[in-house]
Amino acid sequence: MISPGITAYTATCAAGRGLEDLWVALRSSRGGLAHNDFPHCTLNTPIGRVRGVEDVRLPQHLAHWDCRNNRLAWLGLQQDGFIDSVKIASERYGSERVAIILGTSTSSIGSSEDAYRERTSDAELPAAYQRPIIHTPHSLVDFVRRALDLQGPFMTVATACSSSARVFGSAERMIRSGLIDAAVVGGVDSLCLSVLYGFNALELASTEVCRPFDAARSGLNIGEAAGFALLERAAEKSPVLQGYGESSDAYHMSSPHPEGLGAKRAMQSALSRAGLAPADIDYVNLHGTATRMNDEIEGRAVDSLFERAVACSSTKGWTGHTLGAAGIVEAVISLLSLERSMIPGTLNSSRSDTALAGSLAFENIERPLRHVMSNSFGFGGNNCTLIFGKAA
Amino acid sequence: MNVYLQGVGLWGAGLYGWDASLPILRGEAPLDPQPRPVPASDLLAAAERRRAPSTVRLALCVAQDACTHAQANPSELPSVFASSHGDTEITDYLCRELALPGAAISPTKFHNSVHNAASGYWTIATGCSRPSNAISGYHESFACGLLEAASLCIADQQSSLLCAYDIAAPELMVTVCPVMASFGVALVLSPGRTAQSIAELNLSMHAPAAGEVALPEALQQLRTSNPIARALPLLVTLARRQSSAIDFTLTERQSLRVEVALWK
Repeated sequence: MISPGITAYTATCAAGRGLEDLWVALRSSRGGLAHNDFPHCTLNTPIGRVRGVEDVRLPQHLAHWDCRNNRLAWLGLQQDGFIDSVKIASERYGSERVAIILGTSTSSIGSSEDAYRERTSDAELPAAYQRPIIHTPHSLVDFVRRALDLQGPFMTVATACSSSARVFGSAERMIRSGLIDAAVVGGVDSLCLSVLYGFNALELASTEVCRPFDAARSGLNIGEAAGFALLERAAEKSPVLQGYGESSDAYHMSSPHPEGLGAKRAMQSALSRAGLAPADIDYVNLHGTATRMNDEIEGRAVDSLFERAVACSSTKGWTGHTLGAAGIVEAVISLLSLERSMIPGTLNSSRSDTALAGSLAFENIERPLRHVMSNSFGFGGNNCTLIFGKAA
Repeated sequence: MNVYLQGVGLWGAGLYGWDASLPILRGEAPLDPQPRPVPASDLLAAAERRRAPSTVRLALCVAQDACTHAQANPSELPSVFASSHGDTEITDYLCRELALPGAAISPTKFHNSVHNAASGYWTIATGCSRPSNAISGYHESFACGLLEAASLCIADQQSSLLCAYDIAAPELMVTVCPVMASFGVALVLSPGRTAQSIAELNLSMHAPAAGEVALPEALQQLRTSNPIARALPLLVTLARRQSSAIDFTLTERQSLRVEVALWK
């Protein structure tokens, strides 16, 4: 593979809007999980809600795409000069040579939920919701592509919790093929009743603030987020995508492989693509959802791969599990850790009963890092691992 | 980007299986659009067969067919599953239940609601640990899927599977997800030509050009009743065995051009 430079990146989640806000949250152990106040949801579970999404107003020419998910996307795009960075790349390469590949699991299903709830007939949805684009998985990419006026190839990746990690590999392959010179990657998932009640039905959500890898962990919390990154064929002075690995568990739709074989394969494949050995990794940002099963199995997989204990943590205590946006949010946190020399701890947790008990960082650790690995493992056994490296 | 087509799977709206559909695609036989139930896949265990959603049954049928046609081992192929709207039956179910007090959701239906359900069931059924993607490109999901599958094929120099499908939408959703008939198509691609290859496909991004592959009249309605039927010009070109170029309009200024070269 080539090592595309990551010349711009940004994330907006419950813990912070944009990089500086998020960084302050990470440094000061200020988590974003709070009491569930999501409309029409009576579940007793903390959520990672982004404040102010309801107040976002889309520009007039994009009003047709209005929905909660796209408002969150728009909010995310406004941070860290990201739109300007994309504009510069479009001008440099031509907008036909810039692809857009974003991940999502919810897309705008919240709007479909609202439409069904507000319907007065069983023959058709209310007129206000008769906008086909907001009832389809591709809603997000269609909106952002138009917002950024990109003319290159586009794609929505919807592989549950690995969605916005997989986008990096798809972009690298497309750049390497010569079809494009740059790509906007990332993802957006927003709170909606389907995921809140769905995870509740699977008995995977906790009534408490989530405690990844903790011996007393009792499940995940759902969060929402928008994150983006700009990949360019060759870029000096930028961190790089050094490797990625993708695999399937081939086991079960909602339980991970008991030996974590798929997870291990994804990590090994990423190392192989990066030309690195496990010992070269300075920090692993774990998927770490705080479900009993994920953390136990991921713990075993990571422990068996890294002969020497590697510093690792899950940052979902800050953000909640942002599902289709988890990949990009944690990629951004990994990039921040790389560029600012700090391993974020595992917020809300203090003692682990997993195989990583000896190597988990519970508190932040300031340390220069060369290579950071980030894991995202999704329903259906869809696994993706990313490796980021410092600028050359 | 150059890839080779090894096999095709096809099901829906009057086209049932690649070989059986050839005369219809060539305009030599009439199309009977009467829906037929998707054949039960022997890949799924009996319990899974019962629980598997319509999208999964359709996707597995055409994916398996393409692999058989290509004489490819499903457990060795990385795959791309592409769908415009995903499982609208489950979306309809979720939205109906969530609109009621209590919001009682079936956990099985919830884990089947992910866009990568077909991808998940496929890799489980075939014991395939290779990467599997699930994507959408709205009306151009077939073209986007083809590009991703070809990109995967070239980048890692290994054969790949594309499976594109959309199911007929439930009544309440059909005005916003206008899919009137279920249809699915799957392709096995190879980075290099083999004895199994039936065509060479060259993919590039291009300014949109005038001219479209003329479809037999019988197929024109299918073309508008399911987004995956945008694959028809490619299928017709393959059936007629006439080398041709097909443009899939992607953005205001670019199309995906697929140049098809046939020699057998």
